[in-house]
Amino acid sequence: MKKTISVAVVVAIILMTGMVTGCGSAEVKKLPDEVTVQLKWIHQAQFAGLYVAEKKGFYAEENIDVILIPGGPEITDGIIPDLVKGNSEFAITSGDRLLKARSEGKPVIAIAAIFQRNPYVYLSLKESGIERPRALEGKKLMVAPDGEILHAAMLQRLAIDPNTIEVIIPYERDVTPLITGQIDAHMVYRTGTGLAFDETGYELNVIWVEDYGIRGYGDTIVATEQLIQQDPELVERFLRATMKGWRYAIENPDEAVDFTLEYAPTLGRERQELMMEMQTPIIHTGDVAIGWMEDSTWQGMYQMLLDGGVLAQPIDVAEAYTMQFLNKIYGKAE
Amino acid sequence: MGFLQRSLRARALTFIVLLVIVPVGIIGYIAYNSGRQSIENEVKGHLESVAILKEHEIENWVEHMGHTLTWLATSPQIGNDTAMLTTYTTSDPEYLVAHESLVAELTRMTALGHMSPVFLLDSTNGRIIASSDVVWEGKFKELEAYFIQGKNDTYVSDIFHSLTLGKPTMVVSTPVKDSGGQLLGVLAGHADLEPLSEMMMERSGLGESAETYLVAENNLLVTEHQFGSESAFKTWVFTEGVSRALNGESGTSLYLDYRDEPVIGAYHWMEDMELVLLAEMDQTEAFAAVNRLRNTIFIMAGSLVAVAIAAGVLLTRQIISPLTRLTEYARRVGKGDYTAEIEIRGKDEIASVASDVKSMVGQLLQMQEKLLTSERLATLGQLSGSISHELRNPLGVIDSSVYYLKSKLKGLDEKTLEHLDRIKSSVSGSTAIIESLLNLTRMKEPQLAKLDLAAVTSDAIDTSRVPASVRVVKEFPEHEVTVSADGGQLRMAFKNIVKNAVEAMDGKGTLTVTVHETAKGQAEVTFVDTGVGIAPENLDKVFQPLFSTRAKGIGFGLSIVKMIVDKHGGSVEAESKLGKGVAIIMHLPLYSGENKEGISNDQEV
Repeated sequence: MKKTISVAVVVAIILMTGMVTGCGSAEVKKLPDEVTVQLKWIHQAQFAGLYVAEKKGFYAEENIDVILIPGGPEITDGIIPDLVKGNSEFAITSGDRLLKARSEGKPVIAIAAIFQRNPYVYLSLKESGIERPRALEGKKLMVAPDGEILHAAMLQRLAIDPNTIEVIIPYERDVTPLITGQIDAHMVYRTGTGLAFDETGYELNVIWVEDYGIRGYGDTIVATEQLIQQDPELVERFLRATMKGWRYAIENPDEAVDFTLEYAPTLGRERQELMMEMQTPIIHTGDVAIGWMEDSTWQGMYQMLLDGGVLAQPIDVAEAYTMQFLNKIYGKAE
Repeated sequence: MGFLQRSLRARALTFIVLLVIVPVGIIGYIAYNSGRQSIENEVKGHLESVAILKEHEIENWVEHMGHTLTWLATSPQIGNDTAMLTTYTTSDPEYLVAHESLVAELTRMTALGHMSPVFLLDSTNGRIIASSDVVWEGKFKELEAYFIQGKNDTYVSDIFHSLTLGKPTMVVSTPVKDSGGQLLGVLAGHADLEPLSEMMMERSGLGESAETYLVAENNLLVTEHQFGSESAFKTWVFTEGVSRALNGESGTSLYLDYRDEPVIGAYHWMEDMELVLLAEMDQTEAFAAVNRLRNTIFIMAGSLVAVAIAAGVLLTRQIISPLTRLTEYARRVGKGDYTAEIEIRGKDEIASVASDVKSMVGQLLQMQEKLLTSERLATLGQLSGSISHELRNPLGVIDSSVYYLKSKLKGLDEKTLEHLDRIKSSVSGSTAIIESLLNLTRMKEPQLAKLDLAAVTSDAIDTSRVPASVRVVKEFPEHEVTVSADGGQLRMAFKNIVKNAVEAMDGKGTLTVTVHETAKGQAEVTFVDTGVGIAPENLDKVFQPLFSTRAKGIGFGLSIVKMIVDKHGGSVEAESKLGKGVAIIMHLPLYSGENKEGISNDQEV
C-alpha cells in the first residue's frame, strides 16, 4: 500500500513538472510577419530564389509569410513609389533605378544585389565577326531603352564615336531584326530577350558591357529607410531566407524551375531552365557571397549615371546601400 | 525476479549466461574499441599526409604559374615591348611591332604555364593592351583585385566564374617594371583549373571512398567531389571540417560530410589561397574491418550463449530431474504410498541425497512397524493384565478347593484322584500362563546393577526345568563378564529361552550356552539348541508376541525376551536353519563404572 502511494506521488510529480515545463517551453508563437515583395518583372526564373525560399519553407523558418507580387512593363516605374508608400516591404529593382530614386530624394536603400554583374550584352551572329565593341563602328544596332545610358557610357569609355553607329528604333524584344539582317547587333538583357537568341540555335558572339568597365548591379533588393530603422530584425530574417533560397536554387536548378513553374504555370519549362543556367554565373560569381555588394561597383554605377546626366542631383553613394544585413547573415564583421 | 527466485533452472541459466556474456562482452568491447582507435589513428595519419601532399602539389602548381609569369615579366623583351605600347599609339608602326612581339610571347606562355588567356594590363587604367586571345584586348579590369594587387606583387586571385570564359577560373598576376623599377603594366593569366581538379581527384590509394576536394572561403565547393556529378562551383559545403578550417584550424576529426555520411576527415586551411583542403574517407569503409570484427564478436557471443544455454539446460536437467523424481517420491511416501520406489542413478551428491532419503524412508517404515508392535503389545498387556487378574483368584479358589477335597475325602478311588490331580495340574498350568502374562504387562524399568553374566546364566539354567535327556553344555569364560542389568529380568529372559529350546528339542538334545565378551566390547550370550529350527521366513517374527509355531504355549516367551533386552539397551536375534536347531544370540552392554544410569540406580538401592 505504502509503495503504491509513493509510486503514485512520483508519477504525479513527473506529470506536473511535465505540464509546467511544457507550458514554459511552449512560448506563445508569434504570428508570422506578413511581408509583401514587389518583383521587378513577371513571375519567372529570374526570381527563383524567392520561390524556393517560400516553397521550401525558408521564410516560414524565419516566421515570415511572404506575398510575391509580379511586375510588368506598366508597373516598372511605380515599383519604388509603391515601396515608399508602404504597399510593399521589399522590392526588386535594378541598381541604377535605385540610384535614380535616391537622387530624387526617395528614402530607399539597397540591402543586397542579386545580379552581381551587368546583364547587358551585345549579341551578334558569329559570322559577323563582331567580337569587340570597336567592331560596332559603322554597324546597325538596336539598344534596349534601359540600356541606353550603359551604351553611351561604354562608347565614351572606349572612345568610340557614337555617330559611327546607327541605332535603329523602335527597339524590338525579338530575334527577327538580327536574324533577318535588319541589324548587325542587338543590345539585350542577357537573361531576358537574350534567351530567345539562344533558342534560335544560331552561333552568337556575346560582348558583355561589364568587360568594358560598365559595371552595375542588376536585380537588387531594396527596402525603405523607415523599415530598416524600425524593424532591422525583420529585414535580416527576410534577407537570410532569400539568400538561402538562392543558394538552394543554384544547387538544385531543376527544382528551382519546378517552383518557378508553380508560380508561372503558363511559361515553357525550357526557357526557364535556360534562364536559370544563364543567370547563375551572374548571381553566383564564386568569389563573393550571393547578394554581396562592393562599394567600387556602386561608385562606378553612380559615376556613369552622373556622367550620363540622368541623376536629378548628386548623392552620397554610401547611403544608397547597406551591408549591415549581409554582414550579419554571412557572419562578417562590420 | 519472482521467477528467478522460484526456479533453480532459471537462476542457473542466468548465471551461466552471465558468466559467458560478461567476459566476452568486455573482451569484445576492448578489442573493438582498440581496433577502431588504431584504425582511426592510422586513417587520420594517412589522410593528414594525403592532405599535406596535395597541399604541396597545389602550392607547387600555383608557384609554377607565378614563376612563369614573373620570369616572363622580368624578361627585358617584355619590358621593352610594354614600354613601347605605353609610349606609342595604336596606329604607330612601333606599337604594332611591339604588340605583335608581345602577343607571341604571351601565346608562348599559355603553353608553358597552363594559363589561358595570358594578357598584359595597362597599369594606368586596367585595360588589356595585349592578350594571347585577341578578343580580350580592350577589356577593362581596373576593379579586379588581380589588377590592383598585381601592380605591387605576384598575386593569386580567388576562384571565380568568368562570364567570358563561361567557367570558373583563377587569375595569377604580377607587375611588369622597367629597369628603373617603374611600373609599366600588369601581366596576368587565367589559370586552367583542370590540373587542380585532376590533382584533387587523383586517387590517394586509401580506399574507394577516400577523396580530396577544395572548398572556398565562402563554403563554395571548388573542385568536384567523388559523389555527385558536376557539383563544383554550385554546391556549398557546411561541414564541421570546413567550418573548423575556416576558423584557421588544421587537423583531423570525425564528422558528417556533405552527404551527411560519417567520415574521417583531415582539413587544412591554405592561408595563401584562402582555400580549405579536405581529405575524407567514409567511416563505413575505414571501419569495415573492425566492424567485421564486431560482427564476429557478436556472432561468437551469440554462439557461446547458445552453447552455454544448451550446456546449462543439460546440466540443470541432470540436477533438476533427479530432484523432481525425489520430490515426487517424497510426496507419494508422504501420502502413505509405501510401494513408491525411487531409482538411484549415478554416484553424485544428488544420488547420495536420494539414497539417504530412501534409507530414511526405510527406517521410518521400520520404526512405524516397531511402534505398531509395541502398541499391540501394550493393548494386549492391558487386556491380558485385567483378565489375568480376574482369573487368578478363581484359579486360586479352585486350587485350594482341590487341596481341601483331597485332604477331606479319604479313600478316594484312583480315577477320582487322578481327576483331582488333573484339575490341580491344569490350574497350576493356567496360573503359569497368567503369571507370564502378568510379567509381560508388569514389566518395569530394569533396576540395573553390576552383575556377573555367567552367574546369572548359570542360575537361570539351574532353576529351569530341564529334563535329564537334554544335555546342557556351558561354555563360560574364565574371567568375569560383567554387565549392568536387572538380574531378575535377565534371568526371566534366559529361562524363557531355555524353556523354548527344551520344547523345540522335544525333550532331548543338546543345549549349548556360551557367554563371552565380543571384540566390539559387548557381552554376548548364545543359546544353541539341536531342535527342529525355524523357517527363514519366520525368523523375523519369533520375537513378536503371540507368534508360535507350536501347539503348546501362546507365544509370549521370546517377545518377553526381546522386551527385556530392548530395555537393557541390548539386542537379540535368532539364527536358524530348518531342522538344524536355533541359535539365539543376545548382546548386552558391558558394565562400566561411569554408567550414569547404573550409578543412579545404585544410589536408589
